[in-house]
Amino acid sequence: MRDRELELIAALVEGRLDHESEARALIEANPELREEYEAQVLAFGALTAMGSVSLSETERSSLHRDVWTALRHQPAASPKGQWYVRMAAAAAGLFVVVGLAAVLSSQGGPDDDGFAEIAAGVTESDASDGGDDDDADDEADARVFEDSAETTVAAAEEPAAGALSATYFAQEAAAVRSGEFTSGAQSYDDGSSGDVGSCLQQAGLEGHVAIVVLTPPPEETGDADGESRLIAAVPEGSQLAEAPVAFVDMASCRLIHIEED
Amino acid sequence: MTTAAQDAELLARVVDGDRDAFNQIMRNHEDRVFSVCLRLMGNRELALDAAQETFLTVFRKANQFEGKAALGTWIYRIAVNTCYDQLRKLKRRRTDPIPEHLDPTDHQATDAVESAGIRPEIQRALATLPPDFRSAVVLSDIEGMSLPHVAEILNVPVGTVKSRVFRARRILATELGNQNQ
Repeated sequence: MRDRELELIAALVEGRLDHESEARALIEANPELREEYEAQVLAFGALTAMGSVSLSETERSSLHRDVWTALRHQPAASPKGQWYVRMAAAAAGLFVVVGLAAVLSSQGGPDDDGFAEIAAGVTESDASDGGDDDDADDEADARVFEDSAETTVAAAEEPAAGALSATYFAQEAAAVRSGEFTSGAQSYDDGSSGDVGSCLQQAGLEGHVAIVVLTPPPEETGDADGESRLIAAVPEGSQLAEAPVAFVDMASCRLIHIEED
Repeated sequence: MTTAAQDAELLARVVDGDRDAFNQIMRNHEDRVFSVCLRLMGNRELALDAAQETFLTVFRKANQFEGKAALGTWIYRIAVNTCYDQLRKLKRRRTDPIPEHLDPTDHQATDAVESAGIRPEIQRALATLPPDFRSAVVLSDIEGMSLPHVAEILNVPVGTVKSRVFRARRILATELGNQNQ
């Protein structure tokens, strides 16, 4: 079939022809064209019969409620010219994340009791040094700064996960807590299988269980390939509905965000 | 004031933090965004999620709207891309090592057919189409948009839309024929 014939069939099916008789005669005379025409009529008729649908009032309310809940803490989009403001905010966010990652790695990983304990452990460690060994403290500080510098380089090469929005983390954490990714008795992955388990360990999250491996939408990450992947994990034995949810970038095995309940 | 000028003004107000303006944009477009998402996702719940994500993106990117296309065109483009992303995400979730053992059966596919409402056999056939073809027939044949408008939304030439629609219908006809056998 030639393009012109296909165009003729489509136009006839869609009722775009002023004079249909010539097209109909052509189709009638050619079994191949007739078969194509009948297939197109069948599909077109079925599709147009479906028609547009509207939200139910319940769905409409739900949509508005959920959108405004998500936007409640979100400022309006900045005017386009102020790109440097957004860049500065992103850089500040990255600095905080990098600092947290460096501190966590210098602590040799958290214990089994969750994220609150991670933060407490950092403070206690500082306090327990008691200032008796300044040289050791200096060495530790130097190590933290070295680690921090290395982390910064690595993070700069992996902008995708770092670009994720607070809304994204909040939504995925809510999905984790709602049990969307789990079912029945087998509600937790044991966190020890393959890359996932070792990645959690590298991220300093021993004693945590992976719930799901997420693929953030490219629109969120700016990663056109859509290959960024995040492990969402919670402290082992915690109540899922209230658990803090940790997000680990699978490419670097680095903790990038903790969403508290 | 023209529609384009009204659109531009609404978006400008959103960028300035006027939430009433954003509400108005939602009211103007939410039904159609939902309808498009429903036909692409095949499930009312997933469509609602996609519509929500669409409007969040519209809000976040209001400052990037350049006014080259109509506001509706821009919003439907975001909706289609959001649905593509979510379909990809769902597909990955179903094949990733962890979710795989958590949800061995594809309940979503069943739900998709049952909850789409009208003509489940067509919704099932639609689900067999590649996303590019599906979006073309959804916008053209189900939503009744003109081919140039569909081309603008999908950001492809009109000829490409014609080709996708034609081929999509052919696949659908085969699928529908198979289902009837």
